[in-house]
Amino acid sequence: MLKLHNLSKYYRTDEVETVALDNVNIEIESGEFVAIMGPSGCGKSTLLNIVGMLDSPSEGDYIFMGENVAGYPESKLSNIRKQNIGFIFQSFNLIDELTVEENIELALLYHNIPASERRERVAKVMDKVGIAHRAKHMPSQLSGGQQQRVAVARAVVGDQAMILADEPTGNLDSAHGQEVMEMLQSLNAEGTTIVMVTHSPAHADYARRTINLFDGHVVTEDLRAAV
Amino acid sequence: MIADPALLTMFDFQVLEGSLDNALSRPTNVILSRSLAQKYFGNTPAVGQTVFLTQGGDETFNVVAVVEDIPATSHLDFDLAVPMAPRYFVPTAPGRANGLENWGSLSFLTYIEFKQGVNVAAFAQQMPAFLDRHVPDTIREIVKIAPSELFRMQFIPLPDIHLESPASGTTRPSGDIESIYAFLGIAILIMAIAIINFINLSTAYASRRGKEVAVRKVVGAKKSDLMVQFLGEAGLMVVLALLLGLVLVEVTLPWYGTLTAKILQIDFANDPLLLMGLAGLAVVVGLGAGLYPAFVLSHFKPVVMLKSSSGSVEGNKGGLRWFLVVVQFAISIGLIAATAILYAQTRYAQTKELGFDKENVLVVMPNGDARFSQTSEQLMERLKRYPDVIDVTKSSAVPGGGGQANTTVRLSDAETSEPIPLRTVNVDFNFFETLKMPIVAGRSFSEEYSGDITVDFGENDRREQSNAIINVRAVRMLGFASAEDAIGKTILHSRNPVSALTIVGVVADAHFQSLRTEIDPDLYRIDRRNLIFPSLRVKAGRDTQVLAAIKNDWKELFPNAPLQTLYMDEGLDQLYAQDKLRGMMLGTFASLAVLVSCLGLLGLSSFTIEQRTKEIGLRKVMGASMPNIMRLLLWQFTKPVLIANVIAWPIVWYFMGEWLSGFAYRIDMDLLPFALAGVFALVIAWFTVGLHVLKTAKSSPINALRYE
Ligand SMILES: Nc1ncnc2c1ncn2[C@@H]1O[C@H](COP(=O)(O)OP(=O)(O)O)[C@@H](O)[C@H]1O
Ligand SMILES: [Mg+2]
Repeated sequence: MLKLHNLSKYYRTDEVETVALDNVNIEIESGEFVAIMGPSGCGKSTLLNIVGMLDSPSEGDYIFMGENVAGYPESKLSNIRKQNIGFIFQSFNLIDELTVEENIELALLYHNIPASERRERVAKVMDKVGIAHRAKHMPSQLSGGQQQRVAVARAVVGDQAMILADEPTGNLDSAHGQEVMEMLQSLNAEGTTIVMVTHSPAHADYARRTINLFDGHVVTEDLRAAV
Repeated sequence: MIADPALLTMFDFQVLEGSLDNALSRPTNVILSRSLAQKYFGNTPAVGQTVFLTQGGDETFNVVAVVEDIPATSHLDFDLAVPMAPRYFVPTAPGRANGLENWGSLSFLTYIEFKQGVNVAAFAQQMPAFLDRHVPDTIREIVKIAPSELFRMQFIPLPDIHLESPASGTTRPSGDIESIYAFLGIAILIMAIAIINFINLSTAYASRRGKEVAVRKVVGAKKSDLMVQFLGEAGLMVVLALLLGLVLVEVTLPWYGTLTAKILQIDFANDPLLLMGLAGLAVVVGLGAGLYPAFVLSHFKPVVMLKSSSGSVEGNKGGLRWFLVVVQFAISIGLIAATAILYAQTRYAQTKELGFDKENVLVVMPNGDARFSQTSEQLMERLKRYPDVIDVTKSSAVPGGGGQANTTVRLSDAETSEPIPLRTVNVDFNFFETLKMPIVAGRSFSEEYSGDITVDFGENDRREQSNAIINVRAVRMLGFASAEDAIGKTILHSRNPVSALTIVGVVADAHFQSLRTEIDPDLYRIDRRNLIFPSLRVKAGRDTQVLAAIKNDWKELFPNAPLQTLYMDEGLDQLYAQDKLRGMMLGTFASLAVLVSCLGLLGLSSFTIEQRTKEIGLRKVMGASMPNIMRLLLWQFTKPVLIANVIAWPIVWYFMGEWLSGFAYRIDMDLLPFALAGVFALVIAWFTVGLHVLKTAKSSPINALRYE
């Protein structure tokens, strides 16, 4: 599915250069469930952002579905991104002014899909994550777990082949966290590639492979037998 | 100024030299203002000196007093005062009464000082009967109506004279109260825009101060304490703005005065009413701007504020804020549209076919000398010889120059025949040719026909006989079937039925007056007794040479009088000077309104866009392109402007329709100026928020989402 080859990312602020990622080589197959772990500040989010094409590498190659996208301009990245990648964030990132339904629909809004089909797909995915009864509610009226389910629904409504989740359970209690993990697991079972950053070893256990980052380097890759 | 001796006792003048006692009792006495005395006599005493006046016949006058210049706030204005005498009011034609005795000449201001407690309204009511008692029967016989129906006496309290004074030479130009109200209204509207900005921005950014409010509340501040604090802040701002405003007024007043051709002075120190007004204004504006924000701020709940990470409250979605933006833009759009319409009408007036050619025509203005009419004949003879002069003529009235006279005519001397009012213009041969007025039927005046000249049967014979030319409007008024039909017909002066006029030609209608008034039905005659305006058509581009030549001839013929000339097109433009001025002022105000609105929009846009940063970042993650985002954000600022158009258009349509209806000839109101104003406001609004929108649309979404 994707391959990072000798990929580095530097941030330059006021003459201080931070090396967020240093010569990273990672390969992820289609249909994999990968967990990324590591101490705070080691470059997990940076890695996820680059994989998600929200950011570009400073050096190295990023081959996504056979295309080297490393030097692509934002408009091109945006197109690939919206076709293939869904996002789930630690803080849910729902828009407060929009209803649950509208928040999910947002992911289809820039896909040239007619309104009637959009509504259909939103209804289907709301059923799937079990928040159909909250369709007209505002995010602020939902619990954290419910909000994250909305975010998951938003990430998959466009039939994206890959979902990137940055600490999706970080703001949830353990029961709700587990709920979200089970949802991700079943999505993975249906064939969706999942890359997830987490601090919880228990949640990392849901993944088939864990990549440990330290100071911008890949330290170990643990492979687990399929569950 | 020509004045009665009583003027000197009725009003106070500050005497610098000589004495005002009996100063106006001898016909050759003159009183000078300080600046005129200074001009003629420098620092040597003026009293005892003599001055030479040409008006009313050349004569030497003795300076008997010098008074301090009349202050700019007085309506009365003179540099030189002489006693009232008939010689300044020469008859308009031989055999007629002079201006002092002529009941048709009413050009004086008469001051009446009442005893304490007199009811002026009741006094005024007695005036019609007073007129009927005192106007001589001879007038009654001529006009055939009661004098009280012919004349009306108008009493104006002196304090009101600045705004209601009838036009008159000895008073300063008066203001017109309607313009003042209109501009006061506009000033209030602009202030409303500014107040709206203050409310909008201070409530918007109030959320930033949420933490401060919360902390103050936690340490024990009461709502009222906070109200006082925030109102105080608004008040301080208003006081600073007021001081700045006063400085601006002081700086721009002289410029504003030249613009309006008025003398403007504000004496802050000695005008308690003004100072109280300004203080009141500060309080009203301070409360208007500060009350609502102070209320909103002081009512924040500390718990909510402290819990929220950004220290801000969403609460009210800003509905009021957007409503206020709509109001601001409605005002701006309204002012722009009104300016556009005013401009279009002024342009229309200047470019409309007037029925004559106003370009390259020079008019020599009469100098008030009794012999001007005759001496100017000699001037004309000389002018005719210049190669750069194409045509020369004289008339009793010129377009844009005044000299209007009216008469009534009848179609027969039968008692049943109705008098029909016509405007009479006395002209000389060559008048229509000089002004290039087309003859539509019959012929123009020509020296080949002896009957073209009004025959004067002598001083005691009221008979007159002549050929006449009328305009198309008069053809209709007189009831002729067509211009051709009018040729050869005879009409009678209704006041002088023994005088017959034979119509020999019909000339096209021409706008001699402002387009505010209908074209008059005109009667043109060659009557050489009353031709006070020589006018000449010069070759294009040769006017300066001709003017120089006229100056030389003039010096020989009128050695003591200054030459005054008028370009006919400029004289006509002068008719719209007020409108142009209003247009300019309205344009300035409209720009100011737009500027202030945009400043507000700028502040509000950076606030609201900032508020939407996270949303925009998310939309980009979901695949929204830069144009998608720009459209989304611009629409937010486009909506209020569109709604503002909907509000502003009908209001401006109504008011400008009223204004235009004051013109007999006017542009048709169409949607163009409105559309222009709307598009202009929109483009300006876009430009205002554009930079911020662009920056936001371009920014990377991770920045928006990272630090959550
Ligand atoms: N925009 C940025 N500018 C400068 N430094 C950054 C920026 N984003 C991340 N960093 C730095 O890069 C390193 C990796 O950050 P990040 O990927 O967010 O870590 P993690 O998600 O593992 O906690 C950190 O040292 C962080 O301070
Ligand atoms: Mg992180």
